[in-house]
Amino acid sequence: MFKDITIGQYYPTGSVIHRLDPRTKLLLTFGFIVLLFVARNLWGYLVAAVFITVVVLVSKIPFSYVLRGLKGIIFIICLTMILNVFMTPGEAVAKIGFLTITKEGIAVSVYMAVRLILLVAGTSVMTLATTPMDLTDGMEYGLRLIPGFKRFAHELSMMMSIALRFIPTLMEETDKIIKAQKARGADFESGNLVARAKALVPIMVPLFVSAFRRADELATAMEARCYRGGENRTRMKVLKMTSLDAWAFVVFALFTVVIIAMNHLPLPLPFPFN
Amino acid sequence: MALEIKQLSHIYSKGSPFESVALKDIDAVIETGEFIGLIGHTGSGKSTLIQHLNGILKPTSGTVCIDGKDVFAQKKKDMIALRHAVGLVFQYPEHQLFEETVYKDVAFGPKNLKLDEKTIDRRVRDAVTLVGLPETVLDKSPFSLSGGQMRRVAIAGVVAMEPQILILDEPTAGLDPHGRDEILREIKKLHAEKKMTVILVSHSMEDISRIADRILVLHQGEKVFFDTPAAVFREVETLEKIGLAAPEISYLIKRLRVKYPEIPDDIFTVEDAAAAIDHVLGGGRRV
Ligand SMILES: Nc1ncnc2c1ncn2[C@@H]1O[C@H](COP(=O)(O)OP(=O)(O)O)[C@@H](O)[C@H]1O
Ligand SMILES: [Mg+2]
Repeated sequence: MFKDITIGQYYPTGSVIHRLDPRTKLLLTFGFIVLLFVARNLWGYLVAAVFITVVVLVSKIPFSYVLRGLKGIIFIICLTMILNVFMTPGEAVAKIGFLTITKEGIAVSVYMAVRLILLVAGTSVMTLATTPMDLTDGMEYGLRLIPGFKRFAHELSMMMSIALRFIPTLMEETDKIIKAQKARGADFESGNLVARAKALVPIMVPLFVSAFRRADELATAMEARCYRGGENRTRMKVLKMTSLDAWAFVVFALFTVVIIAMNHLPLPLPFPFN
Repeated sequence: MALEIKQLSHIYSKGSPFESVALKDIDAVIETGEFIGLIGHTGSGKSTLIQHLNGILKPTSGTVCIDGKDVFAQKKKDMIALRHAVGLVFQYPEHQLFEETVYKDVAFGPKNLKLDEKTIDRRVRDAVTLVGLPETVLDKSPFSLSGGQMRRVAIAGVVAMEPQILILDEPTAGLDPHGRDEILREIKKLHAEKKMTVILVSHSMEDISRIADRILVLHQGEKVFFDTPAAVFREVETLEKIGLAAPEISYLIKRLRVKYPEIPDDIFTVEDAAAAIDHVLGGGRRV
């Protein structure tokens, strides 16, 4: 029942993308998102789509996995499309009752949808190709560079890695509790809304009890080992950039140049984008 | 109720990189009233197997039949009825308690069976007594009890549904020797008094050898043996190869048999061994 969640789900293939330094991947993903907003016409998005497709192919992650992340935002995409189609002022194309579809509206809504899809695809590839632990290490490094955040960077990333670490555990736990209550004849599927909400009590109570128990045990274990975060703490695994990362930056620089060039080249555009 | 496991296979997360084969072509027939021990190393597929027996987990291939009826070919309603005939106590069942009082928690199962108040009341009191808890705990919060008591409450919750087949997944895991012996004794009592078919999962030969009629040994998802304790423990070499061992006492008996071949070879409990040694060496010679 939790199989649709892609964020935080690592898909190991050992590809070149997987072997990149997490800082590289984070930085380039951020760069990719920025470029999605720099691109101003269809050609730019086409280049971005080709780019992300190539990245997925190189990462050897099946497309179905990357697209799974989209399921969750289909509603948001549809909503923004509908709103944009009707609300954008401009040259009218069609009229439905009191609503007017404009040429600019169609263009804007298509751009928005493409942008969102590419954005989710880009971040999904990153999370699928990076272990959660690497990801938080990379984030800690990034946070330390922001002025004022240096003091909390370690704590924040520690919290995040603990949270990420426990997501699968809690899911497993939930799965087990559901099965156990089903074995006691619990029915989660029939009845009206109130009955269904009530049926959740036998799941939620044990789940909370176990989450608190785990948190308590973890805190005790950390204290018993004299855990003290932040200053002077060294790492067992030190992040290291390699020539692979240098190449990734070179490829991305090329991509950036092409995207910006697309904004200025006098390429022909079809209706309604001209 | 006879339970038939036919060519049962289960693959977790099929089609993803995390795919793992948990069960391979398991065949077994369990007769009414039998006491079956299910044993295997951690990860051998014991928990996976038993979750198929009441239809909670769907097999990748193969099936399970109860009294000749295919569990997975039923309509949803009939499937739920079949599920009620098979009581399943999960590993660490105390983690599923949720009600304010022990009484309400034990009554959860019977209530789901849509029984009337009087029957529920009788069943709750019966079940709690059967698992060896005093009636005074009924009004207490289950979370105020000790670990061993919480486990009994959870077992009572399933027993109160009065299933014909009772399956327990490592009911003694994490208990002290005293608590372990008590729980095992109570399970034995349930088997004897309620005439339930019992399947007891364990990774301790010591526990199982005492009470099981037949032992099903799993290794990496495959059935290795399904036979009487005597027959299974004779295969010490194979058992050791798959990370299990015969009960400690059978090693002593094996060595004694070299000198005293008249000692029978189907002894697995300290009590039986003591009796046999007494018999052979002439009861008088106490050490
Ligand atoms: N929910 C699950 N998802 C994926 N793999 C699982 C799941 N549950 C068990 N497994 C795997 O199936 C195998 C058998 O597990 P299990 O039936 O729990 O063994 P046992 O109860 O004998 O210790 C193990 O390799 C385990 O990792
Ligand atoms: Mg198990």
